[in-house]
Amino acid sequence: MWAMFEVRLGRLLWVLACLSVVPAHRAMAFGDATGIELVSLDVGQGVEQARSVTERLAWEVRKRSSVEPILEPGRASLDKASLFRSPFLYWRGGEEFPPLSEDAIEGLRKYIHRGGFILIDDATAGGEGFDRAVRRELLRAFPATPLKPISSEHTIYRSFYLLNRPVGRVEGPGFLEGVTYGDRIAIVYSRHDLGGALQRDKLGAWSQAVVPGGEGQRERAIRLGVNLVLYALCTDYKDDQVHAPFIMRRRGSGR
Amino acid sequence: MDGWQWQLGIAGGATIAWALGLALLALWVFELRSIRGESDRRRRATLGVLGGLGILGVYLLALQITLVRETFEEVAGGTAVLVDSSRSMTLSGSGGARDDAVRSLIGEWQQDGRVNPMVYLFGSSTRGAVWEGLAQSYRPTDDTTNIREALDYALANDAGREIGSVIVVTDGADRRFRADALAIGSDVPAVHAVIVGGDDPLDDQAVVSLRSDTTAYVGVPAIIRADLRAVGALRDQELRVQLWHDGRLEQESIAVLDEDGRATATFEVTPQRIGRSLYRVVIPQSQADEVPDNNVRAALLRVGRERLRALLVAGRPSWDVRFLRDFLKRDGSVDLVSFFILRAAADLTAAPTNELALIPFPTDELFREHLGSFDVVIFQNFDYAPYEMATYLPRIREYVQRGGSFVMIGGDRSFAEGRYGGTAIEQILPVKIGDPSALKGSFRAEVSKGLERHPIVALGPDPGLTRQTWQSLPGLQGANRVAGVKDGAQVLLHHPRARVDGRKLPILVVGEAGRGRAAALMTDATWRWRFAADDVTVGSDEYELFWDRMVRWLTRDPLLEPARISTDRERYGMGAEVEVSGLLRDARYIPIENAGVTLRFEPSEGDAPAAVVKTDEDGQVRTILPAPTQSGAYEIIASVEGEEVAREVLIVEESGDELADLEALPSELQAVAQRTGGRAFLGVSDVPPLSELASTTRRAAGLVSKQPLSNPWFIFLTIGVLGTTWVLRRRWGRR
Repeated sequence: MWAMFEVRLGRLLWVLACLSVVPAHRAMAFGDATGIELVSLDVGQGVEQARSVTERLAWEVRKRSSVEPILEPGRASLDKASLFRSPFLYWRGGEEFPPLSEDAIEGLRKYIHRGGFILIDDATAGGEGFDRAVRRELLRAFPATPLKPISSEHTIYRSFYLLNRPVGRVEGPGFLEGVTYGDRIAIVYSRHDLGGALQRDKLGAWSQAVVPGGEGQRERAIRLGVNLVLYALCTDYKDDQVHAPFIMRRRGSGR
Repeated sequence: MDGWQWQLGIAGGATIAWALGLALLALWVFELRSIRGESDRRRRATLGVLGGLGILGVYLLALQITLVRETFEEVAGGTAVLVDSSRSMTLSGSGGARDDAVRSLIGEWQQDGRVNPMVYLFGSSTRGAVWEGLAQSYRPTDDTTNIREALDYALANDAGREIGSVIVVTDGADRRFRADALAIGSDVPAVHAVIVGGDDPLDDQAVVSLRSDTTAYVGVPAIIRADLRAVGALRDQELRVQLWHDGRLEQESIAVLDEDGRATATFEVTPQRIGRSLYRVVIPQSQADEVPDNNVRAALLRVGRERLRALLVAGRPSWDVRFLRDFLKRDGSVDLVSFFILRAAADLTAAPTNELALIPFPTDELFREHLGSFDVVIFQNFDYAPYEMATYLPRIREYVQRGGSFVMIGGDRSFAEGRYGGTAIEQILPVKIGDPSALKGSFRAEVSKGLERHPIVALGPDPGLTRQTWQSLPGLQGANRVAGVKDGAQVLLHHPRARVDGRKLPILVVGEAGRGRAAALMTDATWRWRFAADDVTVGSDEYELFWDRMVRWLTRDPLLEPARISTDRERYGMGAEVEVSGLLRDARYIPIENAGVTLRFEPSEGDAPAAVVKTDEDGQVRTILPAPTQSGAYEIIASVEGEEVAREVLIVEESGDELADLEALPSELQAVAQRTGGRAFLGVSDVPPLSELASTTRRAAGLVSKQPLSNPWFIFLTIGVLGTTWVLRRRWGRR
C-alpha cells in the first residue's frame, strides 16, 4: 500500500518545506532523567576530552535535528549504577588500558542487553594500543558476537544524512565496525577519531585539522556523528518500507 | 418322584432304624423257623409271606418315612427399556416416521401389564422416564446419540432392581458405538436391540461436518473442508457440492465417494472484510433424498487482520519512542507503521534535501485514506499544529468512535503542551486537557485502589502483589498535568502526591469513546522500566507486559475483556441444548457476584429472554439454553441490569451433528445382543410382546412334605395282615 506515496507525491505535506513557516517549538523537557544525554564513559583516561566531544555532538544534533540532547552531558563508569543514566555511551580513548574488572565487563553486558548503545572512538586514528585493548575487552564481554565491519548499506549511513562512508579527523578505513546484538548494532567502533573532528577550543575554533579532506570532511564527520545518535534513538526506523523509495531515488540522483 | 427327597421320622434316626430293622428281620427268621415243621408247602409259604409282610408293615410304620420337595415360582425380573430420543428418530423412510413406529411399539408393549420396566430416554444425556404415558409423551429432540453411555447408565442405575434384560430401542445412528468397546462380563444381562428403521435404510446425501479455522484474516486464503456422505440408493449417484457466501454461489464441485460412501470437498476462500463471515456448504437436493435437512452446513469464520496494525507517530526521537518502537517491532503480532519527526523548522541541517534521508510526512495518506486500516493509533509526544493536521483530528475522532483505538503518550508536545485542548482529540481522550502545566520531578506511579485487576496495570497475580510491583518499578520523571478526568473514565495510575481537582493527579487514564477505546498516559518515561540498573528495578518484563496489555486492551483482545461468555460448541441443531458458561466482571475487573444475568439470542425469536440466571461468588455463570428453532447465525448476549456485558457467536443448523451422518450400524447392536444372549430385530414389525423380552426370576416358594405310609389304610392293612397271620396260625395248629 505504501507504493501509493510515490504517485501521490505532489499532495504530500513536505515537512522540510512547510516547517520553514512553522514557529520553532522548544518546549522544556520534563527532566534530565528522560532527556537525551550523550554520556561519556569513564575508563580512567581522557574522559574530559570525551565530554568535550559529547557536548559538541549534542549541540550539533540539537541544531540540525528535532532531537534535543542535553547540552552538558555527564559521564558514567561501567561498574556503577550511573551507567544506566542514559542508553547512549561515548567511549573515547587513545591509549592502551588495563583489563576491565569483572564487574565492569558484567556491567557492559547488562547495559547492552537492556538496550544501551556505545560509540567507541579511537582517538589515535590508527594507533595500536587502544585498539588492541578495546578488541580484547569486547571479546571478553561478547565472545559470541565479535566486532565486524558494518556494511555501507547499513541504516547508520542513512539515519538522517545520506552518507557513503565513515570519516573523522582522519579518513581512516572505509568502514565502521560493530557488535550486533539481536537485530540492532549495539556497539559501533570508529577508528577515524570522529571526536577529533568535532572538538572546538574555548574560543569556538576547531581544535584539530581534518585530513586529508579539510572542512568538507569535517562536515561529513559531523554528519556521521549525527547519524550515529539518530541510529541509537531510531535503530532501523529508516529501514521501514515507507522510506525506501525516497532514499533510493536520492541515492540514485548522484548523491 | 422328581425333586422329592425322603426323610426318616423315627426317633434316633438311621441308627435306630437299622437296629429295629435287624431286630424285625431276626423276628421274621424266627417265625420262618417256627413253621418249618409244616408239611403243607402252601400253608408254610402263606404263613412265611404274611408274617414277613406284617413285620415289614410294622417296620415301615415305625420308620415314619416323610417325602419332602422344595417348590419354586417364576416371577418377572428387572427390565430396562432404553429409548433413543435423538432427532434422527423423527426421520421417515418409506415405512413411515421412526418416532411413530416407536410410539406404536411402546403402546403395544404397555398393553401387556405383566411387565413394568424401568425406562430411560437417551440422546444428549440419559435420563429416567415414566413408563406410563410414554407412548404419548415421546418426542425425540436430542442433538446427539450415545448408545454406549445409555447402556452404562442403565446398568449402573438399576434402582435396586436386579436388571435381567435391557431392551434398546434406537435407529442405531451412532457412529461412535462399537460392540467391542462395551465391557460385557459374565453377569451382564441380556441386551435386546430393536433397530427402528433397520429394515428400511434411508437414502441420503449429507454434509457430515465442516472443518475450518475459526479465525481467518483479510486477504489471506482460508480453507473450508466439507466431509460428505451418501447412503442407501444415493450412494451410487453423483454428489454435487456447492459453497455459498452472502447469498451467492461461489464455488461448485463434484465429490468422488470412496467405497464407504464418503468424500471430502475442499474450498479455498479469501475473506475481504473484517468481522464474521458465514459460508454455507450445500448439496443440491435430490428427489430421492429422504433427509434433505442435512444437505446444508454453515461455517462461521471470524475474520480479523493477520496482525494488529499500529500507527506510531512521534514528535521527535527520544528514548521513550525508541524503546516503544523496539518493543512493537519485536512483537510478531504487530504490523507497525511509524513516523518520527526528525527535523523541525528551526533545525539547520546544513545540507540540501538530496543529502538528507528525510521523507515527507504523508498526513493525507495516513489520516484520510488509510486511517481505518489501523487497529491502534499512538501519538507519542506529537504536536499536530506544525504539520497542518487540524483538519485530520476530526477524522481521528470518528475513527475511534467507530471502533478504533487511540493512545496519547505524554511529553512536552502532548496534551495541553501539544495544544490539543478543545480539539476533536480531546473529545475522545478520557481526560480534560486544560492549560499547559507540566509537572517536574521524580515519582513512582501508584495503582488506583480497586483497579488493581485491570489488565493494563495488573502486573501481579493479585492486587497486593500488583501494588508491590508498582512500588518497585523505577520512578517516572515529570508528567503532563491535565485538568481532570471525564465521566466513565478509569484512572489506573496516579501521582503519589500531586493533586488536581481535589484528586490525585492522574498518570494513566483509559476510557471508551463511542465504540472505540482511548488511553491517556501523561508521562514520557516508561522506558525507564525497561532500561535501569539491577538495584533500582524489578525489570524490563513489566515494561513489555504493560505495553503488550495496553495495545491488546485498546484493540479489545477478547482475553482481556472484563466479561466473556462461551458455548460448549459452535454449532447446534435447532432446539438443541446450548451450554453457556462465562466469567462476568465489572469494568474494574472485579467479579460480579450473585447478580442476575439475562441471556438472549440475537436475532431474537421473541421478547422474552432465553434465560435469566445468577452468577456465583466468583462471577461465574453456567446454564443450558434451548437453541433457536430457526437455522442461522446467532449471538448470545449477556446483560446485567440491562447493560450488555458479553456476547458469543453460534450457528444453528437444520441438521446439526445429529442428522449429519445417518448411517446406522445394526451389526454392532446385533453383536451386543449375540454376546449377551439377547435378540436383535431389524424394524419393529417382528418385535414380540415385552413380557417375552423381559427377564423372569425363579424363586423358592417353600417346602412340600408328605408321609405316604402314615395313613389309616396302611395301618389297617398292616393290622389285617398281622391278624390274618395270627388266625391262620391258630387254625393250622400253630401258636
